[in-house]
Amino acid sequence: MSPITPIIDTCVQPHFRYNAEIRRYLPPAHQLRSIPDVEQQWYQAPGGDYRQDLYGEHYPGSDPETVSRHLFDDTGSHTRVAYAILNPLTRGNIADYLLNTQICAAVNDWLLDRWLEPDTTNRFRGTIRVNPEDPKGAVAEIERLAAHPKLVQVGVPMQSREPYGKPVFEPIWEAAAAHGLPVAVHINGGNGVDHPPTFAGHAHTYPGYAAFMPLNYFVHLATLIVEGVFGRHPDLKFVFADGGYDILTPLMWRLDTFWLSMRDQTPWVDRYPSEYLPGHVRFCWSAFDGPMQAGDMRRWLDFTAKSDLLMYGSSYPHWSMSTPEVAASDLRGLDEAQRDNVFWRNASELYGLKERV
Amino acid sequence: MTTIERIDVAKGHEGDIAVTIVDTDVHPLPVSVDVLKSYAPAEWVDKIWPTGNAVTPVPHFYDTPDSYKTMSLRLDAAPPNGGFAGSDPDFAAKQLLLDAGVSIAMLEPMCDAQLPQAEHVLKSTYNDWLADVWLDRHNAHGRWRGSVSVSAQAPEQAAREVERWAGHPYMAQVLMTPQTRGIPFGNPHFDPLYEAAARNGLPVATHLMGQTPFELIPLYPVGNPAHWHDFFASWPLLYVSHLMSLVFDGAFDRHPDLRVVFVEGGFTWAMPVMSRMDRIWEARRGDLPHVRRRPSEYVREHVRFTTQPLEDTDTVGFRAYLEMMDLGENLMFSTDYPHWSYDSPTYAINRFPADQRERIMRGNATALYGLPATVKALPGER
Repeated sequence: MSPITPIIDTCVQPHFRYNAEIRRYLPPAHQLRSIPDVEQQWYQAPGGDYRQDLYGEHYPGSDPETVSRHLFDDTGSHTRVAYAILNPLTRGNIADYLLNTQICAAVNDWLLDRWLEPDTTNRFRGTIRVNPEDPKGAVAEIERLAAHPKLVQVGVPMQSREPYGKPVFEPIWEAAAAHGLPVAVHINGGNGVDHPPTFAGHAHTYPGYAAFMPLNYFVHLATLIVEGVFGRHPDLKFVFADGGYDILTPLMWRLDTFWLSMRDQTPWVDRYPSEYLPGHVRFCWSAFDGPMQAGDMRRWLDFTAKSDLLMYGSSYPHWSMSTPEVAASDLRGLDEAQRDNVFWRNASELYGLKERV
Repeated sequence: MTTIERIDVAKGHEGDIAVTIVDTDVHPLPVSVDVLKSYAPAEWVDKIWPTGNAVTPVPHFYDTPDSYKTMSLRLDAAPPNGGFAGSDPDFAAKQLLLDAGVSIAMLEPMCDAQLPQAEHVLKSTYNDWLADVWLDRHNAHGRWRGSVSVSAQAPEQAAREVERWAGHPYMAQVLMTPQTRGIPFGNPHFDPLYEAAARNGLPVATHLMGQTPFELIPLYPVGNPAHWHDFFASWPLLYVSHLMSLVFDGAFDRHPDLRVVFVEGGFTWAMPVMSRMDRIWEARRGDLPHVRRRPSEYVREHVRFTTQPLEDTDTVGFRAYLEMMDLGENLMFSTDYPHWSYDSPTYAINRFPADQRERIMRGNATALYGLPATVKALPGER
């Protein structure tokens, strides 16, 4: 295999060493509040959400040196990971949205304190976690941290009781776009006041949950287009960090098919919905996405020009993580430019990351 | 006023013609609510139609374009002698069978009631009406096939309703709403219905029903869109949810003869969803001891998808996608007559890969429903 270099890993979840560690970063008034643990009570993977060999004295993904070694050093001789984008989980859409905003701020302060500021290698980049259920608080948190050179995106949960195209959220997206920060949507940890995770109700098994949950991004995406959010904010970018690009082509075709008929209801959607994708939407790699036959990978990706939208991400330390070598093996039918897009260029352009000298 | 000649279907035919096109999604309507009421148990009439004149379908929360005028129906499908599109079996026969060239059409009435017992009675009423009007009095040509409508809320009664119609020469499938108020299809709740359907060789089809009252609208996990456009584009995810539940919750293991038909919910998502389920299953087999085979194998054996609305993308690319998808055994052509987003057979056939056309237009449906190879021709039909 020809070397694939360099690589940006766009999806890494760093964790607190233990769940209660977050309390050290909360204001005194909130330190005695009840806060859910990261792993979800209802839909936790049997055996734990994270790779079993990474559980130890502390939580998987909680020691910067170990994570650095796993991500940057132990990836095999063919690969060189240059940067990793850290996107920590918070604790769910808990009912007290003001507490949730404090939790987001505590996660951000911890990320700076434990990961980004001590990192002399300059290879970690971070996420500003905000709580969309508190739009004013979310905007204030973006304004507080946007100038930090190592914070390169805003992070929000996949879980929501309203899709992200609804007007209540628009000030958050506007603030992110104004600072040139993409918005990453990722399935959150913790437990919140959420709807059942599938369109037909609760899943009865963990695999039933894990297979469906990432696909919910499509409702956020469809509403961002149909409500005109992308049209009004040309600089706004969304990253769907759980993948789900496998259903992108079928469902975008369906959205395109009915566009012309709906112009009188939503006249501001002034082009085919799929035309918004290149300027506004990216996906992180997922181990669950792909064609039935491995040999079809290239022509499958060519539908909806998915290799222009896709960015490698390991999902470390999740049980479903993909190393660069696994991803490269899946992508072996692609030409060099397409592979370069997925492993480096799409993320480099989105996050403004340059190859280091 | 012009009068369009009506077909006298009772008066004979000019020999038999080969079955070439089976339409798996056609919507008949009662000509009036009074006609429907005449099939309902007397004690239920005032409960199901409390104002005495409300009709179904009632206005939708998610409205299709100009639905106040069109009721989501093709304006040119309104019968010349009055009434709603889809309410005149003979005019429908002329337009869909004779003019559009459909050989056999699967009739799928749409109706809802809020409470389980009322839902069961309403569905049962529709069955009696459909069997009498469409499958008997206006079926001398034998080209209408019916659906046994059942309540999703009352599976024991649904099972008895299936038994009531089993053996009927023209009832070819069971029809259940996918809007199951938070119960996924793989839940054992539905087992009595599935047992009855499988025992009698009747596939269970599902098709969207009304979108009022609000409780019938599926609760989208991240909240519901505001417009029909994004609502309906996301609708296939309801079918994805039910399909994943059928597989992961072991329904096909419990009911080896169960066949499920997903109607009007797209099908190009089937390949990625099958692949996604396979990958999860391979990684998490320990969590799924009851799922004995690869998920995609269950889909190929047990599940069919109808084709309308075909996605209106580049024809050559669409065909290439269907070739890659390789589900030519699992797709069945449909028009959705007389609804506004109708796909004609001539439009559809060109969009399928050449080697899948015969199966999609005819073969898969005739095999699934046990349909004949020939039917009576209508007057003037070649």
